[in-house]
Amino acid sequence: MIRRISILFLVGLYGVTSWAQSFDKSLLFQDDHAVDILHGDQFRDSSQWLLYLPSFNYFASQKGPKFTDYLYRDNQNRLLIDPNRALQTAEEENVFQSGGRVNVLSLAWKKENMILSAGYGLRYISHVDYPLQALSLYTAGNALIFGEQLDLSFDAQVQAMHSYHIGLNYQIGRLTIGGRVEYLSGIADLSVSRNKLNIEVAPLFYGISIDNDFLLNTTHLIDYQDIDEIVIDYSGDLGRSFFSANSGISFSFAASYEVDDLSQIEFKITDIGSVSWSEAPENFITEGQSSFGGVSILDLINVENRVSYRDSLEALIDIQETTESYATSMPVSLSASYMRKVHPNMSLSISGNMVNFYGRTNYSAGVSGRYQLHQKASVSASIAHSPYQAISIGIGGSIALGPIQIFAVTQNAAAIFNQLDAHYNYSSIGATVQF
Amino acid sequence: MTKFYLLGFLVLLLTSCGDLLSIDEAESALYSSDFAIPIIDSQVTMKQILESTDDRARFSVGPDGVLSVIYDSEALSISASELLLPIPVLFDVPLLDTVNQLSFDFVQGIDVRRAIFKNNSIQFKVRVIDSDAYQIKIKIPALFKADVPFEYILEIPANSSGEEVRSSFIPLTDWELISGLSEIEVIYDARNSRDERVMIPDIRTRIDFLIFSYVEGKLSTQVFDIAPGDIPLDAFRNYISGSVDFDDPFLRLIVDNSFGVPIEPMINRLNISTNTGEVLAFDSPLFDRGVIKFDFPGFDEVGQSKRTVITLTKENSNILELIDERSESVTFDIDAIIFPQDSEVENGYIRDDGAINIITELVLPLSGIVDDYFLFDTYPIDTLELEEAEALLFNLGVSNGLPVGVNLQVDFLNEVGDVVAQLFGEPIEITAARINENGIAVKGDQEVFTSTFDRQRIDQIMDATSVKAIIGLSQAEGMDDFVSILDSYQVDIQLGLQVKVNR
Repeated sequence: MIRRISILFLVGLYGVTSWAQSFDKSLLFQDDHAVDILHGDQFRDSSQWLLYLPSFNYFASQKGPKFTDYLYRDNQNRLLIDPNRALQTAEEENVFQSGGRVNVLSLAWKKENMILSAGYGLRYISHVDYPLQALSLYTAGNALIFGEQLDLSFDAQVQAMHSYHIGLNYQIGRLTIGGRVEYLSGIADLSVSRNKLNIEVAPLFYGISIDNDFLLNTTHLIDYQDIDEIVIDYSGDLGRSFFSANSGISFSFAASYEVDDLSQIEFKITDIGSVSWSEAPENFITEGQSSFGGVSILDLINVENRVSYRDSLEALIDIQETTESYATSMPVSLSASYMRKVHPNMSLSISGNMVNFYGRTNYSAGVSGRYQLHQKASVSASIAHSPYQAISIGIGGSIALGPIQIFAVTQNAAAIFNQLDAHYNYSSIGATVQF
Repeated sequence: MTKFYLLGFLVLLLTSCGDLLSIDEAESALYSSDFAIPIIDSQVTMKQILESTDDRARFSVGPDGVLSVIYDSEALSISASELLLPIPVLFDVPLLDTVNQLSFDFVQGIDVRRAIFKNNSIQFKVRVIDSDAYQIKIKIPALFKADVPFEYILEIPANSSGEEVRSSFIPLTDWELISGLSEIEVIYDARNSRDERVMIPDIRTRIDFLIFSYVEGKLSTQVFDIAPGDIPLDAFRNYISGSVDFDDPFLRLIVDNSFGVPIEPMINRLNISTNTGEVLAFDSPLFDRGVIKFDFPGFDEVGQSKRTVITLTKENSNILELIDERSESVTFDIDAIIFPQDSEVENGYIRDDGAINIITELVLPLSGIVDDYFLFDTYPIDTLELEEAEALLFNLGVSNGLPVGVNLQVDFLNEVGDVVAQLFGEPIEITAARINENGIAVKGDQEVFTSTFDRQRIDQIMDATSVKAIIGLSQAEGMDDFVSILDSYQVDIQLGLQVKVNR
């Protein structure tokens, strides 16, 4: 059962990460032409229309075991999921955080000092924060530490949604300001809103005590039959999810200022908003203190009685199910960058990004350089720092093929062939058309 | 060049996902985990254990706190309804004169002097020989209801010559007859249309059945057969070896009697059957005729039940020689003698709801001498799903509050009852509780016993369909005197299991 859950979990995670994009687009690369709040820099000439073709960008930040640490191929080239291998790199606190956006289609229209934009895409947010003891318990079993309370508390938020956005840019002299409103239609969600899960196993006879205050909300992602039959799978109707009852609004703002002819600063704040989940929501609650030391021997020796350890364990955990609507907040991101042209063909940028989510603040910072190889082609390189990966080297580039511009960047070139094999990464790939 | 770039992007895009694209084909790697599972956590008294294992017995606690096991027989009874059967009267009784003495003395063995009718009725039939009209007033002076004697008026209309005129059926329920059944006076007063008293040549009365809810009088000596009974004793059902000598067992006959007559028991048979096929007879001076008399309610206690308890103890019987670990059942055949010949009481009564109920119970106070007494019990188990288990570790903890030591082994049995494995390499010895200066057992420290199973032994127990617990009881060394099991004595049992699983 646990094996099945782990496979389904990874598959589910894969499902959402494969739509990929970040909590927000990075400002580090000038060669990153993914859809953003401000569009001015994307207009290369006098074109009035800018069409963002299908593209995606995403970010992943991992502390402790990387996603790929759970996987390996044996000598028969079979792909295996092995949490025990991940245990080797686990830390006291382990985090997997990722987010991204698939831009299906977006359009920007420039008229003098104003740019109007609209588009549709898919977004995902993925955050799992679990302690070493939880992973140890899962892999090594509960006969790990006796007589000591194990803190298994974990946070999780895995969700996907449709995004319909409209935006407006306005230039006033050297200053450009912009805003974007997104209507979000939730597809699926799994989120922990109360996370206390403590367990203690007594030595010798292994009585189990728990002290919980745990609330997991889900919409279309968990099929819970009993403690032995938990399936994580999408159960909704994707066709109906485009405009579902799970809806929300988010606001994003940006501003850029041309300090002089050679330099520019940009600032943005994104995803101020939330999603309300009210289409078939489910809530699983376990709270309070309880213990189970075993059944009564009287029940065992009386042949008329039936003893069920599963019932006893279910009674111990006592999961209550309700169907109350709930809301989840969007991860608020703050980004800032400074760009300066140091040569007619070369510019340098420095940028920083901060995300506050689930009470955790993550940041990253980096510098990048862009070199114009040709009128229609450029390459970029970066060096970035994040708490979970001190240094990562990035590369990128873009090329214009007539009105079409193709771009691809990654902040972690070492993970170019396995995007999730890095403690920190941001990648973006796509194309735009101007006319 | 453009194609080269596009191809490069495509390759990059596909390869950058690494193993993600094939994760749905991923299998779980094999690794081992240790799971600790609490199996048993109990603090139980001997009474609770016995109640769970012996559904025939019940239990009581004596004033000294000693626990007793009680085995009851089925209740045997004689109901008054078996004695007061309806007696059919298949003919009309003619009233030959205006004053008649009728006899319905059909109730065997009872010289009735008072009776109350139940669910029956009386009818009068008249045939006249002329066309005159008549009024016939019929009285039964000894038949009362609410202190009013029975009286009935039968009208014979004119022109009834030759016809049989019948009264309706007159209910007799609750009418009380204060006389014997052999001399019931029935008087009638017949008047013609001119109010002249006349004799009716053909007047009869009819009672279909004689049924009484109460009869009173002198009963003759009668023996009522009560079905034989037995008491199966489960306490020694699964005996293996050793011995148990009880200190003070006793057999109790409890008789509840609501017949208002003297009754004596007639003990035809009272035996102990052993598991070796022997039949050992109880012997007691109480069995002599006339020694035991059942109490009965008097005339002022009609409706009440009187209890008589006869106890066969080691003082008044040979029970001590009969009850031991071989005892299998108590069998008995006891009849009731009503109005025994030397009875000092002349009259009695029986009410239709009266009964004699006899319950026999064997009481075994758990006080005695135990000498390496071994017994077993078998419990079915579900198939053990241990395919992925690599090793098992059992920790059994016991705090024994009983003044007897326990020797324990658990056998795993396959479908045909063969032992396929044992829980412990050798039977474990659980120390008896210490007896303090007041003679009370004091629970000792917890003793922990560990047993491990490797894969080979796990394979053996996976075939098990039941487990057989073999329990030996013995007194502590130097403790040769009687030991008693008090209701307050407890045994603490904890069992934990650690499973190493390959998954």
